[in-house]
Amino acid sequence: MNFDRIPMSRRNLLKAAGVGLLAGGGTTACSSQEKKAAPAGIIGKDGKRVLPWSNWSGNQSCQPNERWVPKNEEQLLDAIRNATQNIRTVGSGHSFSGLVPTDETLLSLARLRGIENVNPETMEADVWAGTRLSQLGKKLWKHDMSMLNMSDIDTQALGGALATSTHGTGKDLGSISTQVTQLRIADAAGNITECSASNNADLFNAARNNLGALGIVTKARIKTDKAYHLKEHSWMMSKDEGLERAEELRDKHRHYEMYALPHGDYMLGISLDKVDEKDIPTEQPKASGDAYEAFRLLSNVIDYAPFLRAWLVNFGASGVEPETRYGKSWEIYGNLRDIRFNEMEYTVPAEVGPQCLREILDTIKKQNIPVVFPIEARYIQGDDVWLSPFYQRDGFAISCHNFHDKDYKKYFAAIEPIFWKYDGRPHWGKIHSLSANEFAARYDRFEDFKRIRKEMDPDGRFLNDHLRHTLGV
Amino acid sequence: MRKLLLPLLCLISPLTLATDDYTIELYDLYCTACHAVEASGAPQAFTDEWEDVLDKGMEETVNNAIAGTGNMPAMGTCVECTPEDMEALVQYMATEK
Repeated sequence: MNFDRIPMSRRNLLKAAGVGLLAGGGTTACSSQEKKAAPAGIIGKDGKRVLPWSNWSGNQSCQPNERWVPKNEEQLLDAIRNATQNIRTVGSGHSFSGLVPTDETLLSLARLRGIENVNPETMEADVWAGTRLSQLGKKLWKHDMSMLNMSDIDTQALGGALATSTHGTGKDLGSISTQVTQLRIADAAGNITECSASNNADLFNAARNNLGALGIVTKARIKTDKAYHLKEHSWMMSKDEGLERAEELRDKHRHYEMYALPHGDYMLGISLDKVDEKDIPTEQPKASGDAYEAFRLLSNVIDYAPFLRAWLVNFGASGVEPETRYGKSWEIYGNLRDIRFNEMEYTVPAEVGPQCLREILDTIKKQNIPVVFPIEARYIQGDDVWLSPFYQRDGFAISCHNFHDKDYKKYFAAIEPIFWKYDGRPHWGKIHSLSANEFAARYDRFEDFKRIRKEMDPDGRFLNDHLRHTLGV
Repeated sequence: MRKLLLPLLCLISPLTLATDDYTIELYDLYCTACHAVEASGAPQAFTDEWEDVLDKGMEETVNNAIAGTGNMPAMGTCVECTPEDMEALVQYMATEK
């Protein structure tokens, strides 16, 4: 969810609501609050302070009794060999599900970062798992390369992105896991195995959505494209037009996504297409860009005056002008503004996507669910990764969010059964309520994944409570 | 308090707090997303906006950064950071350029 893609402004909403007083009390994105924090953490076995961990949105947290930040692969393997307790690996903490929390060892691969073995002939590069996606795009650019596709938030670590099938959008473009041609993964005995489509293929197909449950992926070889520029265009249309034209717009553009506005009659379309550098205007239009503040304000106003909800959303949306921006691929894909929220995302078969989205929007209206946070919808190409939400079918991912400090549970509980009705598969790193039996019914290779997991980690050293529940082990 | 803290930081930084490369790397990786983007609303690095933040004192500022505060996620998502790294980052960003 990238607010920078929504050209909605707080000024318009203020005009609409006549709420100057309330606006004064509105929040700002990253502002500090007056909050007295007690010293955090515990004293570890080595006498040093061990900090607690919390994910990006704050809905997951834990107090590990040990933290590892190995500086290289050898240190990592030594530590695994000498480990006496369970280990969970964390990337950038961008998962909303319980994949990370542990009261034992928390491992970060953050210092295993960077790219190497750049091969301009095969257009491949080796990327250490701790590399942030935002850094990856910049580093590849220096070698005249670009990622084939990218998620709209780019603060994740590559290892975490591969563990959960992190994705962008595009009819002919798969998740980031599909860009991988080879992986290095450490098992629970501290041995490295390499895998690819032709070498340890079962492990390769399991490890490209590994949940951190098979072992620890240290490095991936990725396929890239020649460096390219992108043109992003966004425009507001009616909800009905957006839903009816979804497939047409998907087919027309390299990337296409929609932001539907709960309680509103509008939908924002966003397309991305490759563009020649020579066709980029020298003077680019200035982004109107304070959409986060606009929606935040809207949300606060509606808390006081819920009867204004639909009118305010529609008024704000009706003033949105089309916008176009250009840039290097990684500049357009990525989003530096870290706006916190909690999220549920399910992927339904592409052909029923707009129908499912319509039912969700109707349900929000009918049940008067107090949410204004836009719902993001994206098309993703099917793949062959065993636990990928896009396994053997093209998908339509629908992402529902609410602000990190607002209740999301009732909202998500009302929406989740709609996803089930459309044979949806949840994003592994986002909020869901499914357990092992339900996953087994959704994934043909679920038991095969568990078999590989047992081979790699017979004693369950890489599990936590969430994974035991999710995998049924 | 801030009147005391900031000049003190400015005075000692060239001598004892010369920012090491690792701190700068951490800043580039984890802090710039908000602290170098004005629209974020976060205190901007290398400006006097840190005066208000440091009114609370360094210890509480670092504790807030560790726990997360407002829209800032815990540790600014820096999983590799130690409390000492967090303090070095605050000192680095609070030094006006």
